[in-house]
Amino acid sequence: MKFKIFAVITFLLLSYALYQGMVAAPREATMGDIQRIFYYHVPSAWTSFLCFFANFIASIIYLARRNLKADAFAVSTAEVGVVFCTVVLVTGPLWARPVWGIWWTWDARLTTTLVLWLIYVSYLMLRRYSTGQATPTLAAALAIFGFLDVPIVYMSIRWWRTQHPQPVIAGGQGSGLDPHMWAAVLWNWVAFMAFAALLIWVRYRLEITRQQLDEAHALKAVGQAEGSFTR
Amino acid sequence: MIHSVTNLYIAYAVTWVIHIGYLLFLGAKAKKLRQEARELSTGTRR
Repeated sequence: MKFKIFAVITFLLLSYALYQGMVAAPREATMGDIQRIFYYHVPSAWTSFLCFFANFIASIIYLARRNLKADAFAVSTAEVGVVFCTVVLVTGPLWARPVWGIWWTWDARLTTTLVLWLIYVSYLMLRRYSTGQATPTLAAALAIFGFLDVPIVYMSIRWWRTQHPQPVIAGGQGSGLDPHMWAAVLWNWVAFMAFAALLIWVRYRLEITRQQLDEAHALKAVGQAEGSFTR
Repeated sequence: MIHSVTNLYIAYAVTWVIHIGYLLFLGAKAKKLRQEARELSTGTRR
């Protein structure tokens, strides 16, 4: 019941955020309507950072306590983080083509974001294709070092001169957004965070079920082995 | 500007294709786990 209520609230938030981004936010003077991609691109990036941060914390907890719930939470947040990071990597070039005249350039922000995506895709591939008992430990170690790329992505437009726009949010003097644009950014961020929480919730429940099934299979195999031994 | 608006719609549409694709992936995973649990309880597997 709680899940259904949360799902309905998330759907309403996403609908209102879409209205904010496409209709309520004013048309940007220089770029025109293409700037509205910003309302999906930036909140998706922030949401993926939060997912990777949650994965980082869960990985530390797993390494410290060998807690299987922390491991399930880690894999769930990594997967949802990759989904949102994919959105960032797809919407960015769609904005860049008409504004810059190119789809992609190897500047610091774009390259570090692609590296971030590759790190977490490799984390998920490690979990998917490695069958040893040490897999969660190796994955947790990779996640802790992989997370180091998140602050580098965030700071890249402050540390280096990039083709990517300089920060308009928390970018110091001369930066900033129209209040109506701010509302659209924040509504979309709230909506995407709610949607990410919903996805993590579902993915976490599936991972717990996976762990329970693995345990049941192991117990059954032990029971069968003992049965054949006593016979 | 027409080109710009086209890219805007594509960006919003692709975002939802990615999210809905992931929801379908979760749905398939849930179905597979339910099937596995059924097989385990009835003893048809292993």
